[in-house]
Amino acid sequence: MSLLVFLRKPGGWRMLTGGAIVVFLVLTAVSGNFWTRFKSDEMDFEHQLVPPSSNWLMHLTTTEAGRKLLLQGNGSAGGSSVTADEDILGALDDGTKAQVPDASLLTAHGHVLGTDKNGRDMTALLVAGARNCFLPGLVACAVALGVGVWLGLLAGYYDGRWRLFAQVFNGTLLSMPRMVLILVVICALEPNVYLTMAVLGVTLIPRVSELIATRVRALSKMGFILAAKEGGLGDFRILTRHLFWYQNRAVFFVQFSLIMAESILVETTLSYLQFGTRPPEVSWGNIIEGSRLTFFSGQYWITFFPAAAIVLAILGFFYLGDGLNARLAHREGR
Amino acid sequence: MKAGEVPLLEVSGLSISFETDNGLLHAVNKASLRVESGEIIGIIGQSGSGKTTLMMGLLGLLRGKPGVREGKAFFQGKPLLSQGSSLMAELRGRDIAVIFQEPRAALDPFFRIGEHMREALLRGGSSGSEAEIRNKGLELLRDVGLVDTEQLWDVFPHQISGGMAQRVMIAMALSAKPKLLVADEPSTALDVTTQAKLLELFKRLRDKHGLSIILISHDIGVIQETCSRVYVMHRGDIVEQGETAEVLHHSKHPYTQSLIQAFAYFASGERKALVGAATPETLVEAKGLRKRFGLAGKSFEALDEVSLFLRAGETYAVVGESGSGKSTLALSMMALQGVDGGEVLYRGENWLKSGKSRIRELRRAIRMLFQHPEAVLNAGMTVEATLREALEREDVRSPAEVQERISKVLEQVHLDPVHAKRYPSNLSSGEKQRVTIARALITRPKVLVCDEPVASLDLAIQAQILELLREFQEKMGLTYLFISHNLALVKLLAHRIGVMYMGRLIEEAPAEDFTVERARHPYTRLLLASVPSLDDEKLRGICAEFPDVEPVRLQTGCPFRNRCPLYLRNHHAECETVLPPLRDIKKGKVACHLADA
Repeated sequence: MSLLVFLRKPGGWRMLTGGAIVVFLVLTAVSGNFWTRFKSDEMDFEHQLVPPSSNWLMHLTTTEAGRKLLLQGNGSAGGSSVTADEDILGALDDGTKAQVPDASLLTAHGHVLGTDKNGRDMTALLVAGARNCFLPGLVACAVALGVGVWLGLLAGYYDGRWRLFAQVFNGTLLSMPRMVLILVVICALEPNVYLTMAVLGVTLIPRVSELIATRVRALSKMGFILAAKEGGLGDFRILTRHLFWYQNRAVFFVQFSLIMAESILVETTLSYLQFGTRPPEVSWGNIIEGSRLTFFSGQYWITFFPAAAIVLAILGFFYLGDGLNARLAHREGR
Repeated sequence: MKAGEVPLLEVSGLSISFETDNGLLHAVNKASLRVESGEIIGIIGQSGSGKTTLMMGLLGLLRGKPGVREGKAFFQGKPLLSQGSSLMAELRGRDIAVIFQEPRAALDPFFRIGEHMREALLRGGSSGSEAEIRNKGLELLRDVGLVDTEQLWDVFPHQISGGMAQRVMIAMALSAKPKLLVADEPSTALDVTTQAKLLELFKRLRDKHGLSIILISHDIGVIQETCSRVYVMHRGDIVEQGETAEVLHHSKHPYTQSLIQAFAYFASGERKALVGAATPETLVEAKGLRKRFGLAGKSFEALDEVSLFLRAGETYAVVGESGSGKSTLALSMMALQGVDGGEVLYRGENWLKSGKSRIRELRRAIRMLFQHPEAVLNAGMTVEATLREALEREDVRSPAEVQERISKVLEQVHLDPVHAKRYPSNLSSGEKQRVTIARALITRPKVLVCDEPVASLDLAIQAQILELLREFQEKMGLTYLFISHNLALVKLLAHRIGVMYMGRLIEEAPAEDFTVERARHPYTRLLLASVPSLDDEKLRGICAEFPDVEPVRLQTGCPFRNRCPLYLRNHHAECETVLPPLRDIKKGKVACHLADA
């Protein structure tokens, strides 16, 4: 019932959809090491460029022992639909490799989403790529929000010098094209994805600080700030508690989601251009880059899955941020 | 009403409900009312009682989602609610006119007054050359009692006062020669002296043009003075109706009785102040406070050499119209605003000059109550969080002790402990003001500066809050600096009263000397006579002595002289050149050359 009420309010569906996608991706990235059958740097030279297996449910079982268990279960049930696959696996267990028919080899390798040209497992690559997307994204958020929120609070609360400083600082940053700035920094210093993302975060400071400053400027004129001063509260408490935590934390979360989405886009773009995450480190961007030559020869999956992951992640964060924003606007009566 | 005559407006069984997150909200429930030609009727009720919704729903002016509307309404026998929106709009502009509470908010800031008038006249079906329209407009402006209309024509809305803006609104409303004027709290945002003039205007319009007026108000005094019949609304129901005198003197419904009781609390003139509570010790003293505000190149003295003192356990009230500098005085005395001169002594210590930490220390002893409780509470904080914060600078550390202090203070302000977990949006405005009082009391202060603490509350709740403040003075010996525009109210509470005009204290006297007969300064007499009350024949006579002009800041001499009947009678030279000093008289002080000691 309360879920229904939640969904009926503005932004409810977007928050739910986006939130579910984000939670799914984050859980995947965090827990990937424990359940992927292959490591992302493990090269299966016997199975290079194999397509995704259709018998995917089977291969989701994590260990060899578990796979056996599933097979035995199926076997004892005496199901009529005994597939060729089971026969092969059974044969494998018996160590009678010679009897394995060629046609079944494709599904027996355990690469659910196929492999790339080096025989690396796509599932493992995607999971590793997720980690290499979110962590740099967090760096961008930390810089953009950490600096931007404070600059916004100070510029909004104290007019005078802080406001002037924020104007000059933001104006300078806004006058530089973002991608060019990032590329210049990469060229000048060693290419490092975290450094790159920190630079991205810096370019996002103006947006965050202007947003916060505008709101704080309006809030500062309100009675409760005067009342807080009257109560003997210091400026630090007024800024952090009254102006930030109780009035602007929702804005903070909205911006967090939107910046995450943007930084994933930037990170994958840079990695595709080979300025971001470099092989052998894996990123969704450089998986796609590696598939450049194979895409038109029919090996669609190497391009498709990371691209889908990018779209899903960006959509998820944007939906979440957008929904939060709609809810915030509704609550403030805009 | 003659038999067979059709009433101007007849409404029967009108219900209005809105869809909200928590289901249907019934704002108006089967309301029926009737307006004859040439009569003023009143709709009275507390805020949220549905009185505005009733009229706006009737006129099709409700904002947001169209709610459910049921019932019948006839305007001169023509069905109103069944008409299409375009027909309704036609009626609205011509036969029915509406004026709102905030006149300046209803005027477009980018259009000059003349352009507003021109548009209203053309909309109302007037035709003719530009000059003819202009003449008609000027005549209408004169009709509503405005002077210098030629100048006014080319002025923007922000350049005129609220009272003038309300008159312009009325002139616009009259441009189409309407038969019915709906006035929604027209005088609530205005000063008492302006309100008195506005109510006079309503009566004049009724007599001269035969205009019918529906006056929506929460103020019994206003209704009593102008309306022949009254409808009492309570939670969407019309609970009582009839002749004004009948309803107010022999009310049958308990709700009406409670309203009248609350009104009587103020109207009776019975003093509620503690007798002999004040001690000779001077607790707080302001000396020569000055504050200048600069506005677009021009600057003016918001506070001009204001000096006053508070004795421990006494209530000192400051009254004045908006713009008189009384709120500036409160903020300056609280050290929440820099001053350009003067000092504020607390127990002999000038706290405006104290160090930051000392000021914070003193803020526990000198607390303040603000006018709008909803604005001063952080919407994101629960009551408990607000009170806990107030305790941060106190020497209470253990959670149990904090909890005890919070529950004790909630009990003191008569709030249920369940309120502790609530957010301000879930509290009524009276409850919010109790929370702000609790926030002040929790630090065990000695002085409370109250800046219009009840002005935004309903009458019944005003009485409760004032009783609460009185109780604290009795029990804890609190000292109050009470700032208000409402002279009738402060007369009940205060021991001494100071009157402010244009940033200056112009009279100070014991509360019992604040009567029309005994007040020394002519401005004080005008304020006292402007309060709506029962026997107003004599008071109206006094009001009539004063010219109907807007207050202006005169650069030399007595700032009040353009409104002063004493000056206007014989144009005393001293009044034009010398700023009257605040001089001692028998039982107080007065700043007037012509007042006798």
